[in-house]
Amino acid sequence: MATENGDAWSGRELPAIVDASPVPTMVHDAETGAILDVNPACEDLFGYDAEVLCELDVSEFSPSVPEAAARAGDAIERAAATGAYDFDWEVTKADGTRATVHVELRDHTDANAPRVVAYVTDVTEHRKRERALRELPGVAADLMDAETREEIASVTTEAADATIDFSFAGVRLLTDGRLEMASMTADAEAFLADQVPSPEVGEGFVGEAFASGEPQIIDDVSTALDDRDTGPVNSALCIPLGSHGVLTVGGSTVGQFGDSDVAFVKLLTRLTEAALDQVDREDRLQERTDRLETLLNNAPLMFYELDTEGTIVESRGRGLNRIGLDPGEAVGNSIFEMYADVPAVQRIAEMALDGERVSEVVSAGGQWFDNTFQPVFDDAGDVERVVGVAFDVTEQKRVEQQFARLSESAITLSESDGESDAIERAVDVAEHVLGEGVVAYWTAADDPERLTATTISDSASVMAEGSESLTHEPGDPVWNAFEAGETVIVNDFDAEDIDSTAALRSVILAPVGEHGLLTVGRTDLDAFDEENRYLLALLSGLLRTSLDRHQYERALQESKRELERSNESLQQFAYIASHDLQEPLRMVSSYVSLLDDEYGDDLDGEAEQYMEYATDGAARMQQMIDGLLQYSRVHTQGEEFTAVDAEAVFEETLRSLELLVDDADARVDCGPLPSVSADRSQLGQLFQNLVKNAVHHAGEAPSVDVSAERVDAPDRDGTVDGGGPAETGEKWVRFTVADDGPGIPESQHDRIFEIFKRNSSRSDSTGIGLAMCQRIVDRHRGDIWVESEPDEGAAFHFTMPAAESDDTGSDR
Amino acid sequence: MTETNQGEPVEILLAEDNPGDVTLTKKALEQGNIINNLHVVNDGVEAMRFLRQEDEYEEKSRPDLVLLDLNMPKMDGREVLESIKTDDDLKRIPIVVMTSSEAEEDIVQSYDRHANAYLTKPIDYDGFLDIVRSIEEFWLTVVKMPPE
Repeated sequence: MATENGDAWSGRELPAIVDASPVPTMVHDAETGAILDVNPACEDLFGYDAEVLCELDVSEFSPSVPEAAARAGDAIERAAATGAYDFDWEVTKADGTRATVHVELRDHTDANAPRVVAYVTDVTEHRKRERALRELPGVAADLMDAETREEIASVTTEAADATIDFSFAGVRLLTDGRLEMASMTADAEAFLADQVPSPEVGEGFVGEAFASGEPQIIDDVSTALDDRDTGPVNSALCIPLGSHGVLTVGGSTVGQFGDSDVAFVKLLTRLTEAALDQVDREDRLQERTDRLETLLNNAPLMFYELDTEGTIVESRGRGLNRIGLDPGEAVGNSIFEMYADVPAVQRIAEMALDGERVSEVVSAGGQWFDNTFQPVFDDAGDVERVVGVAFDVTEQKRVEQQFARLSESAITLSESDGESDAIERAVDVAEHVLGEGVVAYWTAADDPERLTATTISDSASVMAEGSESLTHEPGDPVWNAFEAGETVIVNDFDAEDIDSTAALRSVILAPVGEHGLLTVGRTDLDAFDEENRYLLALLSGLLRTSLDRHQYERALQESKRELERSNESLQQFAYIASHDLQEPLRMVSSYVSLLDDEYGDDLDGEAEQYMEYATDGAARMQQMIDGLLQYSRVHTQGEEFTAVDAEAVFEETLRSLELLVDDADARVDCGPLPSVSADRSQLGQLFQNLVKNAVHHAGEAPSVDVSAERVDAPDRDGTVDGGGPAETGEKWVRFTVADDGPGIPESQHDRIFEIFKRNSSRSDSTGIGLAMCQRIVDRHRGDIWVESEPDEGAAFHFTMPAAESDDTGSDR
Repeated sequence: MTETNQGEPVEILLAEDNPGDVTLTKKALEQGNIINNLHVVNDGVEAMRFLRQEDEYEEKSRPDLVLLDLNMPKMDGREVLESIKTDDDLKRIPIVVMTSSEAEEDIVQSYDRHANAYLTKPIDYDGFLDIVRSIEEFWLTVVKMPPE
C-alpha cells in the first residue's frame, strides 16, 4: 500500500497486545489517511496480509463506495479533530466478497505522530438481518397476498435468500404424502438440476423435521446424507411449516447455522405457515362453494330465485331440462308469464312473494312437480326475494296414480256382477294400470287338463289372431306359475319356448288362487320391473277375493234357489193335498154315508163294521192331510216374530188341553218361562204338540214338567250351526218338556222328528206333531232334541231366541 | 119351507166335473123345499155357453144361482168367475164357489173376482146336505135380487 509521499512500510505501529485482539484493528496516519499497521484479525477480515493491506489505498478495497478515498479521508480528519468518529463502510475482500463493516475511529495522536486507529467490526449478517427484519412486514404482506401455495413458497424462498448467507433455500410442501419442492433459489436450481429429492414424511432430515414439527440443524450435510454429493451445501437448517411442508436452508460451510439463524428463520416460517393456512381455508371454502355450485347445477332439480316482482333472477339445476330450459335461460323472465297457463304455479309464487312458505305438487305440461317456494326476508322483515325449488315427481305421481287406479279397481271388482264380469274388469284394469301390455285371463275351470284363455284384452285378441289355440298345458312355465301360486316376472319369455304367444318377450304371470291366472305380456325384453309385478300381484289378489266372493254367492244363490224350489214343491204339494187329495177322500166318506143312509137298514152288523172302518180311515186320512197342510205352512204362513211371554202362551195352551189333561189324569207343572222372540201361535203349537205328546205317551196318570233356562247358543252342543259359540251376543232360551213315561229308545231319538213316523199305535196319532215342532223350531233358528233313557221318561228340549230386554216387537 | 113368490121353479146352474159331487148336489137339492131346475155342465166352456144361451142352450133361461167348482177341465172355475163378473149381462147372477180347496189363495182369489160366497165341500155327507140347504135358504129365499 503506497502512501502519497511514497513512504515504504515503516514497521509495526501497533503494540503487541493489539495483535492478540479479536477485533480487527487498523492504524491510519491522521494526516494522510494511509494505513500504517493492521492486526491479524484485520488480515482475516480482509483476506490480505498486513504488508499488502498497508500498501492499498482505501478506494482499492472499497470499490463499491463512491469517492471512497475522499470520504475515508474526511472521516479520519473528523476523528482526528473530534477524537472519535463511527460509521458503516462497505469493503470488498480479497476473495471478492463484499462485507459491511462498522468502523469506530479513535484519535491516538501523540507528540510523535498524528495517528487515528480504526476498530473494524464485520456487521454484514447483522445489517442483513436488520434489513430483513425491516422488510419482514412487507414479506408478510406479500405472503398474505399470495393466492396459491406455490406463490407463498416462492415469496418465502426469496425472503430467505435476501436475509441469510447460504447457498441454498427451498420450500417443500406436502403433496400426496411426499414433501415436494415447491420453490427454490436459483443457486439451488443450478446445483440440483432436475434431481430434486421428494422425501416422504419422516424420511431423511427433511422428513424428520416435518414429522417432528421441530427445527433441525444439520451441521454436516455430507455425514447426514452418507457422503452423497451435496454440491456447495455443507450444512443445513430445516424448519417445518406447520402441517404444510418444510423450509430448508443450506449453508456453504459446515456448522454454519446457530440458534440466531433458527430464531430468524422461524419468524419467516411462522408467516409462511399462516399464509398457507389461509390459502387452505380459502381452498376449502372455494371447494365447498364449487361443490355446492356443482350440486346445484347437476341436481335433478330446478332452482329459481325470484325478485319481489316475480322476475327470475337465477335459474339452475339439471331439472330445468325437464321443461326444456338450460340453466340461466329463464333469467329475466317473469314467472307469472312463464307459467301463464299454470294457475297453480302463479298462485304459490304469489303466496311466497307475500311472505308465505309454500309447498305443493303441481301438474304442468303432463308432468308433476313438487314445488317449494321459500321467501327470504331482509332486516326489516320484508320479502327480499323468493327461492324456489322444484323437482319432477311425475314418476312418483304415476306410481301413486297406479295405486289409486288399483284401489278404484278394488271397488270396480267389488261391484262386479259375476265371475266373468269380475274377470273382464280385472283384465281391463290390468291393461290400464300397467300402461300397455297384452292381458289375458286363463283358467282350468272347464278343462282341468289345460289353462285356456277365457278373457283377453283387445290388444291380445289382435295378437292372438292366427294362433292355433290359446292354451297352456301342465309343465309349461305358465302352468307351473299357476300351480306355484306366486306372481312371477319372466323377462325372457321367448327363451321359455312357448309358441302360442311367441310374439311376447316379457310376461308377468299372476295366479288368481285356484281360479286361474292373469298374464300381462309385452313384445320387448325386460319390460317389467318389480313394481309392475307388485301391482299385478295386488290386482290378482283383488280378483281372487272377488271371484271367491262370487263363487260363494253363487253357491249361496243356488242353495237358496234349491230351498225356494223345495218350498215351492211343498206349496204345490200342500195345494194338492188341500184340494186334489180331499176330493177322492170326500167321495169315499160321503158315499159311505150315503150308503148308510139309503141302504143301512138292509145291511148286517158286519157290513156296518166295514163301513165304520172306511169312515175312520177317511177321517184319519183327513187329519193327516190337515197336518201336512199345517206343516207346509209353517214357513209360508208364519207370523212375524215378536217378544212373546212364553209363560202366558203356555197357560193358554194348557187351557185348550184341559179336557185331554183331565181325561188322562195327568199333572202338568210349569216353572217360570221367560220371554222369547217368536211367532206367538207357533210357540203355542209347539207347547201343545209337546204336551200332547207327553200326555199320550206317558202312560197312566202321567206327570209333565215344563221349564226353561237361558243359554248362549241355540244348538244342543252349545254352538251356532255346529260352529263356535254365538258371536253376536244373541241370547237363547232352552225349553224342556219332560215326562215320566216309558221313555224312548236311543235309536229312535232322531227318527221321531221325521214326518209320519208314528211312535204309538194310537189311532189318533198322525205322526205329524213332532215333525211340526221340528219345523217351527227350524224357522226360529233353534234346535230340538230329546233326551231319554228307557223307563226314565223323556225330556224334549227346544231353543228359541230370547227376547231382547226392551224388545216389544221386531220382525226378525 | 116356503116356495118362491112366483111359484116358479128356481133355475140353478151347477158347473162341476165330478159326477160324485153332481149326484150329491142333486140329492141334497131334492131333499130341499125349493122347486128348482138343476142344470149341470161339466166344464167352464160349457158353463159360459149355457150362461150366454149359445147354440143348444138357446132355449134355456138365465140361472138364478150358479154353483161353481173351481177345478174343472178346459176352463177352470176362476176363469168362469172372471168372465161372468166382467160381463154386464151376467155379473148380477150370484155365484157360490163350492170347492174342496181350503187353500187360502183360492179363497182370496175367488172373492177378488167377486164371488158371492165361497164354501168348502164338507168331507161327510151330512155336512154336505147342510151346506146345500143353507145355500138354498140364503140365496133363494133371504136375499133380494134386483128384478130381471
